[in-house]
Amino acid sequence: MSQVFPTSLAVKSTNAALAEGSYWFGLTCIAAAFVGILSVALARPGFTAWAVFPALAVIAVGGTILYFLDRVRVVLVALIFVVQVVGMSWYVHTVFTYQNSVPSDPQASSDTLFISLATTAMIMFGVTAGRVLPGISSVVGAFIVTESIVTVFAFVTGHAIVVDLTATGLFAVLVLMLALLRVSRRRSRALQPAFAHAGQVNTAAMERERADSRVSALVHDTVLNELAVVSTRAPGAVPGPVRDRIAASLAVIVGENAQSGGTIDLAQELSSELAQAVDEARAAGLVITVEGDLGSSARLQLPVAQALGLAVRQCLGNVRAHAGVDAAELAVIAGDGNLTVMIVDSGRGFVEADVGPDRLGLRNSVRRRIEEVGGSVQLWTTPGVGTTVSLTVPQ
Amino acid sequence: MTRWKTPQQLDPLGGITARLIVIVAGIIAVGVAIALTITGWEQVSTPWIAALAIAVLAADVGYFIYASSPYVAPLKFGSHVIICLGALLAVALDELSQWGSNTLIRDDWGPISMAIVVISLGSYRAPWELLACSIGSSAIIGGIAVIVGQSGTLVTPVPPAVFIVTMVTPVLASGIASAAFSRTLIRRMLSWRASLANNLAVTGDATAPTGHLAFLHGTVIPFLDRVVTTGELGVDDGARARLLAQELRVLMVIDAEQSWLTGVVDRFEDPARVAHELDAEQRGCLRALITHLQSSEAFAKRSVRLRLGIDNGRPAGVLDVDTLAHHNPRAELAPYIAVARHVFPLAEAVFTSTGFALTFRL
Repeated sequence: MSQVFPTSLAVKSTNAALAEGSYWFGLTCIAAAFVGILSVALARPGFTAWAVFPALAVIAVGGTILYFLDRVRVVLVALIFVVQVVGMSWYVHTVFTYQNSVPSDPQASSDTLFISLATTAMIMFGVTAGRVLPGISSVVGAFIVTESIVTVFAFVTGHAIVVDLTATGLFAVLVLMLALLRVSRRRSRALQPAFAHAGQVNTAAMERERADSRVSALVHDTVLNELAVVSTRAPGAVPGPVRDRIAASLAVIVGENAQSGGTIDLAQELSSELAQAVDEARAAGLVITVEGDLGSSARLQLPVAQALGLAVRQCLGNVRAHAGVDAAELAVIAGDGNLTVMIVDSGRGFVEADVGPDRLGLRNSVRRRIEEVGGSVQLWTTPGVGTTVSLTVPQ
Repeated sequence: MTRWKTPQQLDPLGGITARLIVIVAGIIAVGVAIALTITGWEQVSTPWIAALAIAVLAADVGYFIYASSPYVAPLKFGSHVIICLGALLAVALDELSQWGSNTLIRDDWGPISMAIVVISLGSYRAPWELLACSIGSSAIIGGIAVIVGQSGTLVTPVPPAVFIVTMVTPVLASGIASAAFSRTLIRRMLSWRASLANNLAVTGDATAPTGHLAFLHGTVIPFLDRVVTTGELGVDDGARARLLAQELRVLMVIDAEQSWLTGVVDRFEDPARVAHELDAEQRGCLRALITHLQSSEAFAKRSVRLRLGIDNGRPAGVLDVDTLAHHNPRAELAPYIAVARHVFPLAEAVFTSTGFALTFRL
């Protein structure tokens, strides 16, 4: 059953999704810091902290390399770590130094907005690194390193050292969520094997059902007819044409079974089935008026053409056997990605609900056969007026 | 349409995994709102609006928790909109409650709490929808920030753009992150589904013949084969052909009436032959649920019943089972209900004191 994602893939996919989401979260924070500081720079004459922009770029580049990292490469991870530490140190030092040059700034503490944004980005890039590093180590590492950088430079530049509630709160929530994710996943996915097993059993059953249905329809079209022929013949020699026809029917049945094992391409043998069905019905004495191009079925895929031809053959057989008339109309209409064949007779007609369960022709040889190739069957019939069967298959 | 597929639609169990996150995140969002309201109480000018803002947020979180339940899954577009609008209303009320006395915009809980709510949506909705919703919400919050910035009460000497950045960044970053999260999950799931579809053809077992096929190969084909080989009909062959035709037809009717559900449940009714209309996912869901009902200790043995039929012109079904006393199977059935609500256009779970029933429409 395809709707239940395997647990092993779900874990990998969730980790990849967390990495991507965290990367974009971090990048948005860097962009926000960029925009915010740029607005300050433009509003304040004598702004000197231009170095924050390349420093932010360095942090963003480090995060981006982490984002594209698909497996642990020790040297590369160590290099990114160094780049991030350098970038963050450069940025924090520049911000604190600038704040010192603006004594009126009441936010001259270590948890200023622009520091929080960069710290948040670093922590989120830590989550991104979690795709290639074990557990929550990268998040914890990112938080400790970043807060250490902020604390050291706050001390060096004489800023009040204040706990950054935004960054610390985000870190705590992230760790909690990552832990909860593991617990919740373990609980919710405990039933995944049951779904997977049901899916396997189901797939096998459906394949068998399809194969049986295909053979059943052929049996109805061929073997039952041959038995009927044999039952009406007197003892003695069997004429050559009758023997040939029985042999052909047996070949079709044996061929279909062998096809399940993948050895005989029956569809190829029956590719011109639609024209054959019409010819056979005409040979049996039915007058058929054809509208449209019978060759349209040549554009169908072989299994579809085969199913359509066999279904038409059954419909024409029904006209001959049950409608009480010796003429039928057949219309072939192509368009909108579908091919529709309509078989119309003005015979007895019938009440569909009254058809006995032993009448398998319409059910097996027409409806199920067409539905199995993605088509549909519509039936209009009125007692005393006639019957129209419409078969639509995808082109 | 693939573009609007949601992670929850592609993996209903993932929605259940994420629900614990929704609950805890919701509690944290309300906790942050209460804590920051208390610590910034001197900035609150209208206490009853502050209380109303927290109540609106709590109601919004409560609705989110309800909408993410496996019993009402999947979380729909309308629910997403309601959740976003509820959070936006809470943000607006928070700012209104501080109107005229708000000195610091950074300690306002609205954007932070909304960001916590928004980021929990990633498992439930499509990426483009999440992105559009977060950009729209950010625009509204940006507008609120401009109004608050013009109130003249803020003490931080920074340009108005910084106020906008302060209020918008949490929601925008969360929205972009949840959209990216959703996009990655969907890509991976669709890729897995594509590989599954390619492999399906080799998993079937088409070797075991059903009743009429066994009869066909064991009796009918040898008979016709002999007729072809010898080219002669014996005295009894005509009658035998009639008899074989009758038997073959009877066996074909019996096989055609058989359903894949025959023998799977303890009692099965399908007068309208609805069973063969179930698609692969619906069959798999029912089979997994039935297997669980038959093996769980919460349910009476041999009491699983399935009735399929036509209800108001549409194929429908009821799967029901008796529960044993002192058992509450709600939790253990939640994943199955979530999957059923995904694969059937309409599916409802009903629990009574004596049983459980799943009603569904095709």
